[in-house]
Amino acid sequence: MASKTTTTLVQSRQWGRIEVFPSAVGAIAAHAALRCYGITGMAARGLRDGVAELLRRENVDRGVEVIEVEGGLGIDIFVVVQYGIRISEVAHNLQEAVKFEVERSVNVPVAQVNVNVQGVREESS
Amino acid sequence: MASEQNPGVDGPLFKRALLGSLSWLSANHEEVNRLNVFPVPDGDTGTNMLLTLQSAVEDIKESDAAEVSKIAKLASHGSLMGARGNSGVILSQIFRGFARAVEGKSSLTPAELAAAFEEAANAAYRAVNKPTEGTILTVAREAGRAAAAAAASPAFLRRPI
Repeated sequence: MASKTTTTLVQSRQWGRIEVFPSAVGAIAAHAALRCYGITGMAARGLRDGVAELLRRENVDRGVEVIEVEGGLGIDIFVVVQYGIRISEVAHNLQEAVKFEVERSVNVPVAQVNVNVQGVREESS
Repeated sequence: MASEQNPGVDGPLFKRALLGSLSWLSANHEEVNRLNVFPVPDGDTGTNMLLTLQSAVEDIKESDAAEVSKIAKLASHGSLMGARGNSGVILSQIFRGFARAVEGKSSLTPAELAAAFEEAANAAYRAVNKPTEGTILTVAREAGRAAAAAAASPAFLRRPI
């Protein structure tokens, strides 16, 4: 069953233990997402007055939730995507990029990446 | 206006260029696969791009539109619907930018073609938060620059860029 954890990963080593917290995993996932093509930015979980809130760079990890599921980590990610793009494919690319980056960085299997498209933006930058 | 020496790029010529690029990519997509290192080095970039380009060209094969804008619009729509993988999504944005740049035009002068290439690259860059260089984005931008530099040459459009 999925459960919220305070510690994602504890490894005991010869000199002591290594802990990786969900917030760190969240930051890695957010970083991967922002480099993913077609993603305008991260969005806060849930809508404020029915509108997706685009997060600033400092708190992009608020757009990610990391839980423990059977077989590894479950990552829920909340994003705003670019208008005029095939959203299903961008979401799929995002899943692959997040899974790859997190597994490479913390060496824990990622069992799920759930993409929540909170909004669509017309090109801004 | 298109002169005698240089007829410019019209619908049929642009169609031929796209069909040509499809057959080139069909022959070389394995090599592109081997170049794939970002964001996930799974070696499918060439295949994804080929599938996207196939989808882009699908409707064009049937079309005998004389206007370059109509062919570009078909390519833009086809690649959007058939986009596969990151490179495919980016390719669809390149076509989208190109189609927008040539909107309403029946044929392109060398300068207009070069400008359309540059706008296509700019459009592709606008759809990403943190662009990663060394990807198809860089290729699109440099192709635009090279086209702009070559547009001044009288031999432009007579030979492949």
